Amino acid sequence: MEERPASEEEEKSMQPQTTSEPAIEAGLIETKGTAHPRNETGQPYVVEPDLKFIAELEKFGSRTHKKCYQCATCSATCSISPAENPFPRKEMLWVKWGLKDRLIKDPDVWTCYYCGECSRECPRGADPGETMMALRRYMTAWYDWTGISKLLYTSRVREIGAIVAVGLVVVALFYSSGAFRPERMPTDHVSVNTFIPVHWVHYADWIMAGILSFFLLTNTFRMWRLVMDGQKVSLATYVKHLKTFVLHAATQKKWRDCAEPSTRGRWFRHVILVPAYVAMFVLVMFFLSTLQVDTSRFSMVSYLGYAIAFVLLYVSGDAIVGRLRRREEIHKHSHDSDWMFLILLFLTALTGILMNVFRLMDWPLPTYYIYVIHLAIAVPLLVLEVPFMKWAHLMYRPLALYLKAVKEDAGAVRPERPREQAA
Amino acid sequence: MEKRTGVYICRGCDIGNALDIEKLSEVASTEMKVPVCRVHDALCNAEGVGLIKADIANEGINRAVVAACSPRMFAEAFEFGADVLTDRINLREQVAWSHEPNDEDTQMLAEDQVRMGVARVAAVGPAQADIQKTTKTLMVIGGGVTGLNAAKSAAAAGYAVTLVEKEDRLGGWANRFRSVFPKHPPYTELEVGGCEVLVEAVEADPNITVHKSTTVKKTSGQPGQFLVELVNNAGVSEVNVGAIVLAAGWKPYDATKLSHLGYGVSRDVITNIEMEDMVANSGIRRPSDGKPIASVAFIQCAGSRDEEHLPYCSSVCCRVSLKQVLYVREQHPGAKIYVIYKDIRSPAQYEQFYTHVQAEDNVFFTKGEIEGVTPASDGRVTLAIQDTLLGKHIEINADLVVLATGMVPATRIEEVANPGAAESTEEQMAGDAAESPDKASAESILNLAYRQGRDLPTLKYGFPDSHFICFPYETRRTGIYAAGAVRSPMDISSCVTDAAGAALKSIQAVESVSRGAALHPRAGDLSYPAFLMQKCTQCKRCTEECPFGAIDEDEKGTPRPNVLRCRRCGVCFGACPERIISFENYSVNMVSQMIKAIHVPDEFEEKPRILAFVCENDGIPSIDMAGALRLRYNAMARIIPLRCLGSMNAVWVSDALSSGFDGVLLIGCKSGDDYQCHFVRGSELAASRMGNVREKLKQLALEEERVEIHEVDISDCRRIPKIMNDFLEVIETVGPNPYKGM
Amino acid sequence: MAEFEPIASQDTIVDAIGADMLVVGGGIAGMTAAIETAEIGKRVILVERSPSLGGRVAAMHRYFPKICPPQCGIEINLRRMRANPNVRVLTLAEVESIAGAPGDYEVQVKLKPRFVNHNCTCCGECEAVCEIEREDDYNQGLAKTKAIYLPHLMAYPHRYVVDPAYAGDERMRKCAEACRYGAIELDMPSRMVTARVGAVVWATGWKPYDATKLETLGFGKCANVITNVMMERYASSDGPTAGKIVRLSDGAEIKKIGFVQFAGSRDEHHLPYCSSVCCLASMKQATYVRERYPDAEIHFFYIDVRSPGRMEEFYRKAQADNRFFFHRGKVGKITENADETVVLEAENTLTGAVTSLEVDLAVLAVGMVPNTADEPPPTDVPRDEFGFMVADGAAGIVGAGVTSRPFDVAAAVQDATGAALKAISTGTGG
Repeated sequence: MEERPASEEEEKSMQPQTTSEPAIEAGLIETKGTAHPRNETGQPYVVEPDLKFIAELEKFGSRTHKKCYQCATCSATCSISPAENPFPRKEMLWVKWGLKDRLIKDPDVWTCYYCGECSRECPRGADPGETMMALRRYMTAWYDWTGISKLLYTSRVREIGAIVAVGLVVVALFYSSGAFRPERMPTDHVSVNTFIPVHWVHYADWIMAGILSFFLLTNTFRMWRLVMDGQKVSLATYVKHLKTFVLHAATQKKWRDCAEPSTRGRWFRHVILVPAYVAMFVLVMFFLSTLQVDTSRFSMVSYLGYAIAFVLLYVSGDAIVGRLRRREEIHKHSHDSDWMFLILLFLTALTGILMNVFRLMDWPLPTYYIYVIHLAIAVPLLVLEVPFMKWAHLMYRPLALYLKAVKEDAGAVRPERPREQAA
Repeated sequence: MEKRTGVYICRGCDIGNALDIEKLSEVASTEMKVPVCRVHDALCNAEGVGLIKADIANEGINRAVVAACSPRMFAEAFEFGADVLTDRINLREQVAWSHEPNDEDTQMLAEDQVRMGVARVAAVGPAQADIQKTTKTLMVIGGGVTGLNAAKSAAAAGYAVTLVEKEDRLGGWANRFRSVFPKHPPYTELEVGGCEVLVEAVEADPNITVHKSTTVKKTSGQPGQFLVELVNNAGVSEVNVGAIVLAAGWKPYDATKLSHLGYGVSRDVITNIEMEDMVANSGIRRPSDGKPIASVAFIQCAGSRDEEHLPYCSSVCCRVSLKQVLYVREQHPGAKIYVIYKDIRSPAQYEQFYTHVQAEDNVFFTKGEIEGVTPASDGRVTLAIQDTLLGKHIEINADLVVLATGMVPATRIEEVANPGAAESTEEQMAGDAAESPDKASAESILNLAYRQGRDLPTLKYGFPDSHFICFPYETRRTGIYAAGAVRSPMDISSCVTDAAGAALKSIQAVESVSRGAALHPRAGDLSYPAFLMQKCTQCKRCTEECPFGAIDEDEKGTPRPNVLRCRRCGVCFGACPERIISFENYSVNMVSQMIKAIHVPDEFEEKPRILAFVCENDGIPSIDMAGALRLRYNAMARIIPLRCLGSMNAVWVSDALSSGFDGVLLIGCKSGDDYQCHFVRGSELAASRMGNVREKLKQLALEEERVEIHEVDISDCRRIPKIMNDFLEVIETVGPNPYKGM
Repeated sequence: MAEFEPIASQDTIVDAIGADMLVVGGGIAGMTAAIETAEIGKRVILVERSPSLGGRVAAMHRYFPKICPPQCGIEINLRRMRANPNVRVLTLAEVESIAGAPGDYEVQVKLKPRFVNHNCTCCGECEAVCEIEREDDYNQGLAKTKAIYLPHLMAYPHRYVVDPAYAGDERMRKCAEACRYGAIELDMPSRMVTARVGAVVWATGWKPYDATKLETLGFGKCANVITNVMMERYASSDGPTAGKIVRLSDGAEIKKIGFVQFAGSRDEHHLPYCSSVCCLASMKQATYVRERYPDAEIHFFYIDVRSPGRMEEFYRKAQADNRFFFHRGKVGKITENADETVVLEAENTLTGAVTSLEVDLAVLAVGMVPNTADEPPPTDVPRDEFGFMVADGAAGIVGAGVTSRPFDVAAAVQDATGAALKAISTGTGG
């Protein structure tokens, strides 16, 4: 299995870390401008472009950054970028110069919501928005210690392969559980629980959830370490700012500041999406028994389930249409992973709904098969996307905002000030 | 031929309504006794012009005084051929439109205008050209891209050309460049360097004689009659040429002065020229050990844009480095290429070239200032850079460092190269003048046998460039034009047009002098200065002050005018205390006569009289425009236009003051570094002559305030009334001139 | 040009005229090509579409780096032309077609009516009684003139002209009657003239890029955002404000002014090329401000300052001014406050901070668009993707000045002089 992105480059590109702790502290405190934390200490920053990193980024979707001539129209146009150390101009420069050591510690990669304004205004067509997107993909892979993420992001074949593999595992599990034996597939009327007893599925869910959380949390831990960059911050400070995490995780509030007209709608769709995920998670984890039933009686839970399913269907469908139309900046370029995520989400919702339809129509065999298919899509979606790919940003983005707040409080970076007149 | 004057007064455009035309014509006919005086409602119309033409035919009129609008209007209408001298009296802009109508003072002004006009035509005659035998052969000095193109385009226009090149081979720098940056759309692909095709074309051209390994020992004579001594191993030869294009080109800035950029400190620090050679010969290798390179750093503005070295921008270095980046990409695709710039200067469509190079892999650009270039322990070179986009202080390590060194004009004499000495135009001129002959002869390309020095006067930093935005080819040595990188740092395609332009100007020179006609700015003027040598006192003022070095001297210091070098500004006769210099149609005496003609009322009339000498290039047009805008001012000033305020002779001022004028106003154009004067130093010279004027004032026991000098530019029309009225106030406070009525 | 202008003016000339060269465009480049050629003894026809010569430079206040008035150069060029019988000027003239080959072109020129004949003396009576007003194109439409007007003080031919839109208007009769010289002919027809020439120099010049296309930069939306071309007019004593530079919204004094470089230039969405002059033009205009307001703050937003050759000195002068602030970063957004103060948003890439700078007046340094982009010569000449004529393109038809590259005045004149000789050589073989 291939090693993590450019780990053998790590030593070289991490060089500045070798400067002494106090120097770092001093540097951190004085950080300003595009200057690297350590520049202010007097020790010059030794620049050694990481060519492998630049090449890799292209695979992650950053293809036009070379056109940038550092005019900073992007930073000036961006309505959520702060006045101090604004993005994405500095990230564009670091990408051009292959300064991975700076980028992997840069929370701003996550504070961009990709409203596309910068890309639309860029006079050189360097498309900063897409570069930031590619960086987020790269970061996701960089945080992921298993290296799986990188494998999936950098190859369409591997990605599809992985989905199919996990799907087949699901089918295999069904098979080994003997679900496909005739006596387990009553044809007189639908009985999913005969086909596959709900508590078996439930156990599987729990095991899967456990594994996924393990990966996601360990990756998140790596992100935390990188962003904090060896800075000492008191537990109190961490606690004090927890609300930031919750707030942004739940509402994505900052996104609403994007001036791009289409933003509001997209923000709204995401805002209903998040509770939908959560609710679905809760249902599957704790109320599966009331979902997977053979009666045609409806319960609150099942209504909720349908509602969520339709939300997922709508949002993912809408996004797919958008990417096909390519009308808005953010839809101009689609990485394979973007497609894969949306398609899987759409199909999961669709199959989920179909299964219930068939069940209510009392078509036994279609119901059983569609159920298998449903899980053979939903499980890869969860297994791959949650810890290793797109879905992880639901964790990383609020975390970045949270850690930024923490660092500011600890005096790491100048507090974000509203853009006011130059002193 | 006996002079017969006709005065023609126009009634049009309110002139008739503002003035008593009857009285005016009486002044002409009765007082001035002109044989013919006619009045018409619109002289500029066919009928009015016909009237004058008829008199010329029937009455034998050969002096036409047209009292109508400004001479800047309908000039063509009042051209009556070589034998008729026309004088335009401005009764419209300067009288009817700018003063109280039907007012005594306005009328007096008009009458004096008529008197001055009649006096003028009485004093001078139409210019007769001094036609001399001239050659139309052109000489081009320098066989580089510019020289070759100049020769080729002049030859194509049908002129014989002598091309002089100091090297044994034509082509100059172009021979050393494997490629040149794109001149053609889409402005992204390098184009083949060298210029074999051009060289062949030139060497094959029957109109072009090529002298290789040849330099100029001496250049004497004047446009149409230059005598150039050429030296080569065969010895000295002489050629007669009509005009000269100086295309001596450039040399790279001396990199040994750039040790702070590592040159001479590390062998792996080279110049962009050495880079070209490397690419053409060995290929790009690390000079110190010949190993292939993994990284290159280009340092822009190496010596350029640097007060310590070349204060100017060499214009092409950015694009040259972009080109060399592509060399590296081609020979070492894996190498990291850094470009450290102050500003990337890829003007016009060359922006496309910059965009193209940016899109290459492994190319890293940052703005920054070099702090130091030192050898690194690992055998590479370390660049310390500050104020970069990447941070305040950064370091970069490279196997090879290329300094983008700038262009120095071949005409630059290193010793005067430091900005201090080059600061002022005048100092620079002094530098060129006989000041340090040894150095000059060591450095000089033209070796002009001119009284004012061996080289073209340079403007700054050693560039013999024009000071005129509108006339980029003008130099202060008539018939000699600088072209290409010797004139200003420029790229090859600019050199090509520059060459053609300079060729055209030199063709103009030989064509004009063959007709005895002046060159820019008084193009076509046939008059020329005549010297009454027996009265000359060898004071040398004319030879020193001529802005174009037209007048040489013999060993006794007697002026030796070169008419064909003359631009007809009259500065020489302004300088001459003996009044021995005059033009057929413009002379010291002419102005004196005009001053005499003015009626100066005695003090009891309480009508102060002001005499105004005004530069006809800026002052007169702005006074015209003040009139066109109907701006009002007092009618006490009598305006005498001068070709250049530099032609103002102090004697006029004393004449005026001793004959009762209350004040004298001098209106010229802007002087100083950003001078406007078409004749370089007109108002400056006038100001310097104020010294003598003040002495004269002392002798006459008159107040200094009676003479004022003002600088106006052509767009200053709204200032005119203020200048006129303020001066009148001054005069009124000083009181009337005691010499009135003497 | 005695024999043609104005005595036998274009409304009395014959149907066919011959010359060695035709110069199209009467701006500084065209005038230069024409007079420089005429002064070697070649006959030249100069056609200008507008009523007078001078083109864009006639509407400028000053040139860099000497801060000298363009009128000075126009004056002397006009004087050279007046004195030179080899130049024939046709104004209100447009080239309709070009046929033939180098050495022998047949060019159809349309002469539009001026409605004022050569009897005009510029006395101004007609203007005084004229009731109709029109937008003054010489002043960028920032001022008005009468329907019968003198284009500007330096106009050549120095004759009035009637705005064709109003020639038919009944009210113009009054003007015709007011003229004592029978100069006004409201029924003057347009006509065709055939020119047989050896070569053609195409010098139709440029137009400023349409600032309303720069959506984020507030032009037309914010009261105090103007273009550099407008600035030239505001600074001129014969401009709409008689030379005053003030906040347009309330006429207040300027305490802070912002120069926004690359307004359209070096931008894929607008003009991908660099317009070459904007940096220096803005620094020049900064001197206008400094002259009027000794301690106004001047802010200059740039990516690369482009002051080639000796112009570097002009840049250094600006840097020496301690109230002149350079910000390395492009202005991304321009908005205005309630009090119509302009807010410029840009990141200074050297300090990495975004500032929202409040200024009284913002000047957009809009770039140059060659007129050949949408009005190419009526014959096959190679042009690049931006519409510039390609150097050493067609023999016999040579581009001069901004038809071939964005140039400053000196470079345009240099180019025009060279172009003239190229044209002659290819055209008539001398």
